Amino acid sequence: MNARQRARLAFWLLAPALTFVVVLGAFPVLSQFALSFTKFNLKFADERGFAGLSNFAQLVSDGVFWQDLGHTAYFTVVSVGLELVLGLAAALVLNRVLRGRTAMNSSLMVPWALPTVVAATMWSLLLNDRIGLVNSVLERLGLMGEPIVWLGPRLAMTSVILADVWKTTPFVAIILLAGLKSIPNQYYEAAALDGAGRWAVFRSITLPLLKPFIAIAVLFRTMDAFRVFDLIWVLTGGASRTETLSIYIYRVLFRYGDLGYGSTMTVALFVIVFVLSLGLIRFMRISGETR
Amino acid sequence: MRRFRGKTLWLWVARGLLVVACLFPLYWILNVALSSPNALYKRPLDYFPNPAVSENFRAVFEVNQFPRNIANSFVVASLTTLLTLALGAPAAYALARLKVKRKNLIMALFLGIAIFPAIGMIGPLYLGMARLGLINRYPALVLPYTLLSLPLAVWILTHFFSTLPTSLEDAAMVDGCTPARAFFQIILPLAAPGVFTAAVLIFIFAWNEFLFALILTSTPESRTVPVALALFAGLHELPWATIAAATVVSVLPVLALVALFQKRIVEGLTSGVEQ
Repeated sequence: MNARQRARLAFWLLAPALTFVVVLGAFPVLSQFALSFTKFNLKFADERGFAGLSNFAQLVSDGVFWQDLGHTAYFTVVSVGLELVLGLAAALVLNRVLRGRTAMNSSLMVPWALPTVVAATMWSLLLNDRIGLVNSVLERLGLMGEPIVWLGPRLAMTSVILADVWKTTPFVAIILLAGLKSIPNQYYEAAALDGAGRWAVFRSITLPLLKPFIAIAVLFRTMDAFRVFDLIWVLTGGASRTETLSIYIYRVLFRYGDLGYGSTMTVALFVIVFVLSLGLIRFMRISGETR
Repeated sequence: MRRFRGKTLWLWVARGLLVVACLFPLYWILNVALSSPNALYKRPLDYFPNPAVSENFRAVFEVNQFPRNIANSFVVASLTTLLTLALGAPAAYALARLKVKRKNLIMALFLGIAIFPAIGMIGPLYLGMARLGLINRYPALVLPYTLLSLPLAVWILTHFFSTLPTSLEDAAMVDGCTPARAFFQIILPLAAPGVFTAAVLIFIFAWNEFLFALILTSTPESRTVPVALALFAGLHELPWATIAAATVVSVLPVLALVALFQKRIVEGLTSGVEQ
């Protein structure tokens, strides 16, 4: 096959997917960018018009936006941090498993594979203050006087993070396990010959070689956590100081019908996630080079 | 010797904790689904169904179009899987095997779709679907789901195609095979494991998706399982036992996929991560 034939074949193989992505994907994405400069509320549709940067000015002075950005950042940092620590611990345990590996992996994949709505439903039943299992067990153990309102104002964010950690730690563990398996055994053998302790081996062999995998897991998880919607929508509906940016955008777009301002916030969220991922990718490259 | 035994014990405890942590919420929902609705109000709670009943499952299938919702989910997830593979497999083959100009630009396009907040795509998609009269019909979900799962599918399949030896196509070409025939008759069958892995992941994604389904469907008959589940609560005064039974039913397909194809799922999730 000569170069021209190759190019023609490549064109025809790529054309359907690219056409699909451009028609269906580029249209909503670009119209979000266009709408973000527009005054357009479905409830006052006749007042539609170009708004310049006024939506962005509104965003800067919108206390709810900044507050929800704070919730989102807190949710992302705490849940991804916990998932990383617990995922690493789980991966280290799984890496040592010889028998029953299939059963272990299968049970680990269960939380990951369940619909988020199902995970949220399960946790709202477990954490329900009147009929939940958690409070019932605490009561039986004599550890609780008044029922603990897990999804109330004080603890809701913690509960949401708990549910997210339960659901997505397995994903992090699977990625890190692949990383652990990629580390050649010779390194460990050499370290054993040198009489290195377990902690020293972990710090100077396992952790540095695992860095690119940690970066990938953190990248994927951060991108998802920053856009979290389903879990919070089902668990709290955004009440009790758990409203994240996606939930706020949902409210503005579909409750208030404010397509202009909602789109502006979408663009802002996109820019934040984009910059975050670029930063993480750059960090990944740097840690890859120093290897 | 004692040290060795201590080590093994520690590992066993850690394994046990891991399995219990992953599975106990599922056990609890199953327990509630098999208990009488009043059992939840007992104090302290029973940890086993006492006695086990099936009325909650009957309630699920008798009320609220739930069987219809399950059928919707199956159709939507299957069509999404087929369409994504039909579009994604050829594209991935081109990206992996043929020297494509502006390959980085194309990859960036897919990546951009993957990064853009889904919540922002729905408004314009809703208006577009409404204009085409597709709201509450299968394409309203299948098309956006395909869009969202294409980046993942292309990523996984590009990785799989690039692991196959190039000599195969060359041999086929020497034998006078056209490039298209080489793709369909030689490469595609060899890439079947990769295609299958992608299919499992796409199906799970489409089965679980909530946000688009919430907004692009508006009638009980057109809803998929996750939306039906989330809106159950709104219809009655939190019939927890029925919700639990519906939850158990709705996770069965996903659990079956995990039990059967756990290895493939892990492969798919980690493909390309190893560089």
